[in-house]
Amino acid sequence: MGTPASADLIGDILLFAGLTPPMRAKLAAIAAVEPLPAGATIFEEGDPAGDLYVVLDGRITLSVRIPGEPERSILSLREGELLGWSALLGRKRVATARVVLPSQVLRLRRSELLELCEMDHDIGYVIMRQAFEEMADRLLATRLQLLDVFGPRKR
Amino acid sequence: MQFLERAALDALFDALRAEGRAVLGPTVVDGAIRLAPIDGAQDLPAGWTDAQGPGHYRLRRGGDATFDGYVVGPDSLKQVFFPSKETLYRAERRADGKLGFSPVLPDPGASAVLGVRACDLAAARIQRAALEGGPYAEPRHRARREAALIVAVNCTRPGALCFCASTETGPRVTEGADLVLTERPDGFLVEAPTQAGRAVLARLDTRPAAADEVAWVDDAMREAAANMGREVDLDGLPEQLFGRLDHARWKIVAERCLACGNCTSVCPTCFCSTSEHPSSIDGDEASRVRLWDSCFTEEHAYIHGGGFRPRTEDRYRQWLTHKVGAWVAQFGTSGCVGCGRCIAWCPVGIDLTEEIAALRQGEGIAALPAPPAHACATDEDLVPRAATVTRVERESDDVVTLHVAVDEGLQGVLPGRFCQVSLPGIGEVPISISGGDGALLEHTIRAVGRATDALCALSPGDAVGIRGPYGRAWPLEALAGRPVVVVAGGIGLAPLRGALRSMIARPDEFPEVHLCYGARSPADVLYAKELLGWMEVPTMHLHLTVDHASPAWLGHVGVVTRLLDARSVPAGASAMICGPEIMMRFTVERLAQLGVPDERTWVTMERNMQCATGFCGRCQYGPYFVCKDGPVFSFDQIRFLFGEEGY
Repeated sequence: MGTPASADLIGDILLFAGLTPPMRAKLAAIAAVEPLPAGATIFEEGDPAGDLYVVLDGRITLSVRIPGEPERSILSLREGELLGWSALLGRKRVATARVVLPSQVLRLRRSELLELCEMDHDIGYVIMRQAFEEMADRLLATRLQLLDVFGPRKR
Repeated sequence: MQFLERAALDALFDALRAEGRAVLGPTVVDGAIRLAPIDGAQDLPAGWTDAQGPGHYRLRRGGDATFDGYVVGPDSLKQVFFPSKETLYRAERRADGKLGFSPVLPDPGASAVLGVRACDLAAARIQRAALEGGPYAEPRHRARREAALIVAVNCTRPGALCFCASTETGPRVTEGADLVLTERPDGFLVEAPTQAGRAVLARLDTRPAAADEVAWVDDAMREAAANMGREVDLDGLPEQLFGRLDHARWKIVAERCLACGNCTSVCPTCFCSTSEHPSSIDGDEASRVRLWDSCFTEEHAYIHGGGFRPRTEDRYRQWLTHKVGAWVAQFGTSGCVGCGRCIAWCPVGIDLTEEIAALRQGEGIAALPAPPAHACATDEDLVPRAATVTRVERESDDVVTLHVAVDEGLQGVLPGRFCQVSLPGIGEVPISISGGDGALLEHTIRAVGRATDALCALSPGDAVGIRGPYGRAWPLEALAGRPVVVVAGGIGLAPLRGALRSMIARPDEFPEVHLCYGARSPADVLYAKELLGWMEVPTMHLHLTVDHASPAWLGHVGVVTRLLDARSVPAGASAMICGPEIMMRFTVERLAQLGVPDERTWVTMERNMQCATGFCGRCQYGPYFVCKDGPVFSFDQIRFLFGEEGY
């Protein structure tokens, strides 16, 4: 289950840049650093709500299943990016997360994270705001992806 | 100034014929005063007068003047110097399998054009700037222009649609004429500003004009200038129009405009053209034929799969912002000479002076660039050079790289520039240079239409035609000494490959180069082998992503802008971008967030480049021609227009 995270490590993560040292300590208390080997599956599409992750290094790819077609990778995540945002909303996993290059992640235990956010709205605000910002970037990139800008496929 | 008796006008025809000149002049054809071959004074429209209004042109009998009863009809010097249809070259497949291209150049006999008005002489000067005053000169236009002697007429009675006084292009003839006539009831006052004109004058039986006759001309010109049927205010107009691209008036005029292109046909300065590649049935002989075209057609701005100006309002706005706006930035003069033809021949009577007045009411001013200085124009006959495909590399399902040897070699092969690659009878397309030197060219081509399909199907040994290279290269000298971020999307890597090779070869000048490359899928990644090699180059940092992949793909997945962060965009970096326009838009925004200023961000634009020399007018992008001012632009040059719908 990895090694406990330090408040310093939390402070190095851009996502948590808005947290004060005491807040970082609270977050560190519910987090662990986990190494993940290439080929590992972190969660699968349809799994019940689970923990929240931050990629510390390596590369993790999100993929979706399309009936009648091979599974398709749609987004890769790297250092500093959030993985498993559905944890914050208590939703089922919407994609499968696979480790493609040996990676390290910071794992935040879901129930304790949500409890922390409820108890300390200042922490909750920072986390939700950062998550929202990252989702906004991802939405914009997804729109560009949707446009399939490379022109029509060969007829 | 001399005086020529009215009855002696036939002597002028005799004098012109004595010099071996064929005479064109105003004459009544199909109910309009047209420019056509005429034999003598009896063919001139003496006793005819015209009534013009918006969407209205009628001839009727009235008065007895030879020239003064009417103003301009639908024709102008444009027809004479720049015919509506002409063959540019012929191509044949020779016995040895190679292509032979032979230019078709006119051999215009000496001619004289009679009855030309001041507005049309200004228009001829303006057309000359477009067709002979840029980096290239059209030899056919020049030959016809130089063969013609111009006998101009001062307009003493401007028409209801005339406004040359406010465009400062009339009514008095001040340029471009060899002889100038001013009509009086008893005859003509004649000036001969050129040697050629004086030679003709010497053949005529004239007497020196009296002082009161000379003064009469001045008075008549002043009176004519004061009696214009219309007026227009061009002052500051280009900046206003480009600052008001979302003015409500564009939609209002588009509700009436039929996008028929009549205005551009009759406009004496409109010069846009298209070309066709007819061939014999066996395909052994073909030619390229140039035809007038109009920016009101859908095809004008159409490239593989879509047009840049789909709506009528886009096209009217293109026409007007060019004619009285961008023209100033391109050629240092407005494209409107106040002749009023576009008003008369518009089937719904759209009045340019009214539209301009309406558009002046509003807010918004945009800064436009100063006209480019072209020191000397080199002749460009638009004829391809014979070339042979030496190697074909398949890059993906629909992309190949052709290696092409040009028989005579090429000068100026630089990354960022492009060549016109053609197959006789099929077509010609602009393709960026993706590598090579003067002897061997590499062109990476995606099969997206008739010509590119045929080019992608070529094999080693096949013959093609090559013109070029054209356009502006990547400014590698300006980029040296700083980190460089190269952002490529899809086939946009092709015009960047040569620049990347150059930067890799010059590590002292380019110590840190980041290539952020996005493709649709792993199978669509271009130059895969070469990219792998680049991973070993110490100065080169490769960031590759695809829009989607199978789970076996270990690289990045997502759009290319997600690769842009502090790791790939070092402090102080410059950027070079090529890809789909929407991708470039998102990329420029992201780079600006990361601190890359607009003047150090370089992009390549794609528009409908057909002639590649600035003649055909199809690749216009606001004040620029993508073919000669681009295709590489610094982003601060085009920021004011970039992403604007309908441009």
